Amino acid sequence: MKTGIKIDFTAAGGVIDFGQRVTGFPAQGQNALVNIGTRLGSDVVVPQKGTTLEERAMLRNSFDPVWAINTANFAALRTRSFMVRSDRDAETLSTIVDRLHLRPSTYANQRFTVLVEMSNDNGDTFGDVGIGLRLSDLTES
Amino acid sequence: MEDFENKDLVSYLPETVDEASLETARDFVEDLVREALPEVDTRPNSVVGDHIISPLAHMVARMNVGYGRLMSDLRLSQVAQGIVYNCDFVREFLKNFSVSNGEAMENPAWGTIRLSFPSAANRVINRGTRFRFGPDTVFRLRSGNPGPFYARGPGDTFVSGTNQFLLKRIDDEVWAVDLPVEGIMDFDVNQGDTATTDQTIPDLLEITAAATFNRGVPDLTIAELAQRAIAAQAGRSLHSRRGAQAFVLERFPDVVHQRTVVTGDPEMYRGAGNAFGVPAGTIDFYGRGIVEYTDDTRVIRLQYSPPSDPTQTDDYFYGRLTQREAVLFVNELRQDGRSFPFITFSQSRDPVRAPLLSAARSALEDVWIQVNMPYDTEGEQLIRVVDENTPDAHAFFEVDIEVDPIVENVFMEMDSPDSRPAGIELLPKASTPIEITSFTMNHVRRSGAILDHTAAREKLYDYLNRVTYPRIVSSAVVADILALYGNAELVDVDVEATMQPTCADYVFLDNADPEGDFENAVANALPTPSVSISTLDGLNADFDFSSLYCRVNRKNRTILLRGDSLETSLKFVEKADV
Repeated sequence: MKTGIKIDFTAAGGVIDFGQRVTGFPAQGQNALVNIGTRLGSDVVVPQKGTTLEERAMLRNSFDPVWAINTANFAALRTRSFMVRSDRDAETLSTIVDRLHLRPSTYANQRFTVLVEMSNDNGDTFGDVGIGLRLSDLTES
Repeated sequence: MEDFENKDLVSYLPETVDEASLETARDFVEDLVREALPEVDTRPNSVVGDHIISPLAHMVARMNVGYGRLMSDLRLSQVAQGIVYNCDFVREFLKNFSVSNGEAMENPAWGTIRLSFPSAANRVINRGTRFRFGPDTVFRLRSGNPGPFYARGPGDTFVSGTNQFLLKRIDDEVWAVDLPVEGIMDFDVNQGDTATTDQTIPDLLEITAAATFNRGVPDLTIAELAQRAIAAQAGRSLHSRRGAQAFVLERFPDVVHQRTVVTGDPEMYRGAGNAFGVPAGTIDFYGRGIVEYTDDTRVIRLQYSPPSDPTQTDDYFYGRLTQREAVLFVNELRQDGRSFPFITFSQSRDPVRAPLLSAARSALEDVWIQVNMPYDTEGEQLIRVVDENTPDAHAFFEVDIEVDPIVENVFMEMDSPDSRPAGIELLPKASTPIEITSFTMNHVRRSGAILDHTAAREKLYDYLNRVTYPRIVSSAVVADILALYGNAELVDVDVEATMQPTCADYVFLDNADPEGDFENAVANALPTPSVSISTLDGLNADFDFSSLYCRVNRKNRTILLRGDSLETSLKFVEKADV
């Protein structure tokens, strides 16, 4: 199983904690969170990375539950698909992350928050983690 | 940073890289890290993946493009088309080919210097003489011929291959000789400029520049320089010994032996002069392409010549075996799997270009073959004749020959319209093989030492197969090999070897017409000399068959180890300690 460096997600943003390691399910869950919060096409080396969550949220002026669910579902689907494709060691989601749910939470003060929840076959869960998107400025909380 | 940006490497890097290249580069870098640290999470979105792998991938992608551009600048064909990424680098690189607008050291300046004397007496000028026009403008004599320079009076005969120059009268009481020089030019040397010398030349009146000197550096664009470099490399001249060798080596780098023999060499019997008596240049190229020759089987149709009288058994088959290829050996003739004895004849296809055996083992040698009809004890013919009792009576045979394909290839290359030298008669030939059937090394073994026969044999095989002029087969090398692989001391070497200048048993005279009258051609044919060699020195000997226009020596022979195996041909015999 892959071991990564831990990211502490705070309201002010992600902070890399070089002293901490994450392995297996938490490592992949952490990667999923980063992907959800990344704007699609913003990484020049891996342009397929990220979701349209932020972009779509910025285009909205008012909260629409149907739209929010739809947007969250697409973001979940894109993230899961990308993680499967980009995992060259085939440490697939079916064994590490089986389910990835994104639930719209709030849309207020130009801030769109989705709750992320994921689990695997072993019963491990990761969530509810809220990801808040404010204008073009991404923050996780 | 500013200094670094001026370095060659950075100047080759692109501003941007396309997405596909970045993706490929990321995979490449990730593979490298995964190989070394398989547990580290390098996937996109991970800390290492996004903050280490991706930036590295970006750098590698740019470096990869830069490397491609550097390689392009190293390819003359690209530069010649005007595709240049770094002009400074390419200009420096082209200096390697001595075609650059570069330093005088690589392209020496040159000119003609005039030495004036009060008389037309013969004089000798030291080869090492230096001529100085200024502190850093020094020239030396320039010539491809060895030895000193001679200034000869009018009427003196000119000898080719020497540095002879004629004195010419330039004033009532002044005689001058103009000599080519080359050197370093710090400032321009114009016609009439005077120089000094470091040598004492008797009666010398003055040293002047006979004409304005040339800097030796062409003013060309980079693309033109590259085109010139390509021309200099690819356009090997076939007009000289060295040029012909370079020409062949460039196109056939796997030639094992290669040696050229030119007009004036003792081995050259061709092209003494043309119809008008003017000496014509000739070059024989001797080569051996591969260590082992190629075995080949040919099916040939031989004409049947019936018995001179029905009661006689002097009937036979005859015909041409090969043409336009250098046959090294004719080994066996069969019909229906049964071998029969045969006689072979060599004939020059073009006696004007290559008389008698000067065509041997070249594309100008035709090999003819004769098979006498064998009879059994009851007088029955053993070879079936097709269409017997007709003018077209014949039979088919299989013949095993050994050829060296390199000879025909070289012939075709040299004979191409682009390569064929004007006024030079050039003929590629297979080096004459000296067949060693037994090479016995009598030696004394030191007590306790073990001779590694296998290793020594391999080393000897390699040595004998590749020994080529000017190296000779040397007992010193054989002794070294024995000492190296067994601490043994060589006493002497017994050799059993044979050399035959052609594969054929007889040589047809140049005016023979075997096609029209085979019997007459055979009656006048000359036997091919065959030499048995029993000593090591014999492998380096000079065999002159002048009546057959052929000479074989260490310049044009090659050593060929025969026998079923190296064990049977390379033998070690231990002698009692002496």
